[in-house]
Amino acid sequence: MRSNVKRKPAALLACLLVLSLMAGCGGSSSESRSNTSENRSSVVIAMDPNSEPEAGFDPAFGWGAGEHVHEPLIQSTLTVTNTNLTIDYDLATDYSVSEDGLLWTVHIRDDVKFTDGEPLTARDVAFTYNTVKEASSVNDFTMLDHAEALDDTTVVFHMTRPFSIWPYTMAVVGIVPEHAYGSASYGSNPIGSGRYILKQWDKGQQVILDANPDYYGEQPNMQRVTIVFMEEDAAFLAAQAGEVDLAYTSATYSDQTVEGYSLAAYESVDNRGFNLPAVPEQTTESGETIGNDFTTDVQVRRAINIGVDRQEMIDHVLNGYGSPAYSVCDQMPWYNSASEVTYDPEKAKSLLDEAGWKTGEDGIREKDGVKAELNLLYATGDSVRQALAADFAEQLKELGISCTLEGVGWDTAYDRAQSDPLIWGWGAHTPMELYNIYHTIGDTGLAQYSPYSNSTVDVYMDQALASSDLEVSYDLWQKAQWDGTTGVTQDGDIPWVWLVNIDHLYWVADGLQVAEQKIHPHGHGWSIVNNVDQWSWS
Amino acid sequence: MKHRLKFAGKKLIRMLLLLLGVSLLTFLLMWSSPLDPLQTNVGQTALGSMTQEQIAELEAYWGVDMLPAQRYLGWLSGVLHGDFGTSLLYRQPVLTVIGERLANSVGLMAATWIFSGVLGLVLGMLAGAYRNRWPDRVIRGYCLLISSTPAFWLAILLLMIFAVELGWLPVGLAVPMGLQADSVTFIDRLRHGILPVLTLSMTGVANIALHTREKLIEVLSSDYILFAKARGESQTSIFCGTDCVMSRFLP
Repeated sequence: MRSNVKRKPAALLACLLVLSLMAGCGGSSSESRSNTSENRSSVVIAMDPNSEPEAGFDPAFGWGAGEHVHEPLIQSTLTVTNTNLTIDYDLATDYSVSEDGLLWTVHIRDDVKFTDGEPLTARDVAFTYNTVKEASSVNDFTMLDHAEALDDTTVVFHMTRPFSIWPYTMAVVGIVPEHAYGSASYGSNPIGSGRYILKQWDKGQQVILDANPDYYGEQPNMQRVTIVFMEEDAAFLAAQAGEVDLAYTSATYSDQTVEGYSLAAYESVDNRGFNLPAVPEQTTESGETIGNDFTTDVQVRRAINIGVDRQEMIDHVLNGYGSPAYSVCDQMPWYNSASEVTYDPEKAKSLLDEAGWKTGEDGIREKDGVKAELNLLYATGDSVRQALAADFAEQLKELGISCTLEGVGWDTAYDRAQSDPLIWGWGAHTPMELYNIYHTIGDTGLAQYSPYSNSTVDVYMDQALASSDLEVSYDLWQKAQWDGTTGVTQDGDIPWVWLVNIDHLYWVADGLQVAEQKIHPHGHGWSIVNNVDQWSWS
Repeated sequence: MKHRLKFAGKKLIRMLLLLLGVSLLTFLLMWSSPLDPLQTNVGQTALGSMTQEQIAELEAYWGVDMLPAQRYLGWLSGVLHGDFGTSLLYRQPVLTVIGERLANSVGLMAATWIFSGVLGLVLGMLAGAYRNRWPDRVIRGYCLLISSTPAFWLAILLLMIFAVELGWLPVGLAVPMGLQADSVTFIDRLRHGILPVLTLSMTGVANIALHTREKLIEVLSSDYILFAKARGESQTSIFCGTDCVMSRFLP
């Protein structure tokens, strides 16, 4: 009796309370709307939850580096990459490297202070690099032996081997203060000398950055930057509700319209492509099966490369938001434009005919008992990759190649890709990726991700890394791709067929001027806010 | 007294054994998972820009080559000493990481539990009391519908209605976007909590309501109810009396 009497009114009361709160608080717009264009110097950005650095804003644990390289904002770096991915100075005033490539000398500015007032000296730089090397998470510092500060403004890097692209590594390492660094605490309370100060971090929710009033360079336009971490659906709803000024999105939402927002597409080197095993099917010493009897024929690979209509893929799968990819590094300073090809299905067919792949009665080509068949693999869980693979299969059918599709998990994908073409996603701000894709590795004598070997290509890439001049090295990377005789392009071995570069899409509030973006690397993330200090409201 | 201690002691030992079993099972599941810790935590593109040397270092860090027994026993001995270790991913003590997540969830779960419990009970009793009449049909229909609805779908639906269309409630987070922690008021937190609690309650109510309904029907068809009806007790007094009995049934 008693409990029943108490329960019903209690429930009723609870409901009334909730309703009154909703109605009462619904009217007032509250602080969450203050980020719209009334407030001209702050911006709210929605990013995907993976962008939140788990270990905090600590360069030693990968802040600024990893899969999605970006400027660390809270800290300064020695160098920076420009919009065209060439190198410029930030903290460094100049750098030079010794003849043998084992000693880098960098001079830094003397007018930089950390946000706690202490000056930034070469000792902080050396400390940072030695700490980062030791912690070694997503940064690769195996080429650095140790860093040393010669005086307040000179730091030297002792390398273990020549590494011409060291400036690219220098561009993503934020400098931390020696006097205020503890590996357990720095991630949540980072003190840096960068454009922004970490004001607040609500873990799993948002990050609030305030402009650094004592910044040594140009004062940031945006005084307050709030980053919220939301899943794609939620980010879209947030844009619709007007609660964020910029939200990441994907091709799935590209046909929607949101009042007060426009869809912005930024070029990226975030590419998709297939590896084509370039050796005949065989069993290795360790018992693995590698190679593919169809793609081992170089004419087949060449035919596939020119027999694919990349623009059609972009139009159908990406809704037009992409650009054709002819290499793993389109538009990067080390890209060789000889990689570019024109879509020519007739030529592709004649290449196959000449190579002896005759069309059978079923429309599928055949040669010496080997059928023109491919089992295309794609990583499950990514609908864009699946769609691209399906489109690829359709197009190859026109050429007389029959394809089946198979979804695989990443646990087996690497091994399976040694014999069947897998659709990969690459795209980095460093030529090391080019190296790792085409260069042979010691124990197998073949490249790591897909079996292929070309000693000329290897030699050029090794020379490029050992070079002491960045400009010269760009030239060598390009020669590795095509030197006039051999390489990895259409006229060369073409062991990988690159399809598209995916544009990164964002909903941008009307009136928000986003500064010119450098080419985005693989994945969304913090790349969009590399230059948030230069954004403005009109 | 001794009885109670024995009872409590037995329960405690059972709980500890259960925890041990769960930890072992969880560990076995994770170990037999085909996911490579490097691929998952470092990422394919990052690995693709690294030298073999660096990858070897990372493998050592993530303990890829450690024996499973060694890993589990190492963890267990640490836990028994009260040391839960440091998270490899978050680089913080494990208890800190759990504590942060827990702090945010506890309020939410408590509110949901109370709300869905009360509402579920009320709905279940109504459905049981008016069995096969229209209140029962409506409530049962709602519960079955909601049971088959995934919570995240419901969440998006509610967001679309209340946050986007009507603009009454915020789209996400537990605090207003861009607002400093010291300016966040209790009302703000309540506003941000409404939709999550509502979504979780709506999905949680179904189970409770249906179970309550079943129990009530069972009780109502028991002998002494029949006796009470025969004696001429009114529907209301039976019902209220029943409820006192009901509260002893409920887990």
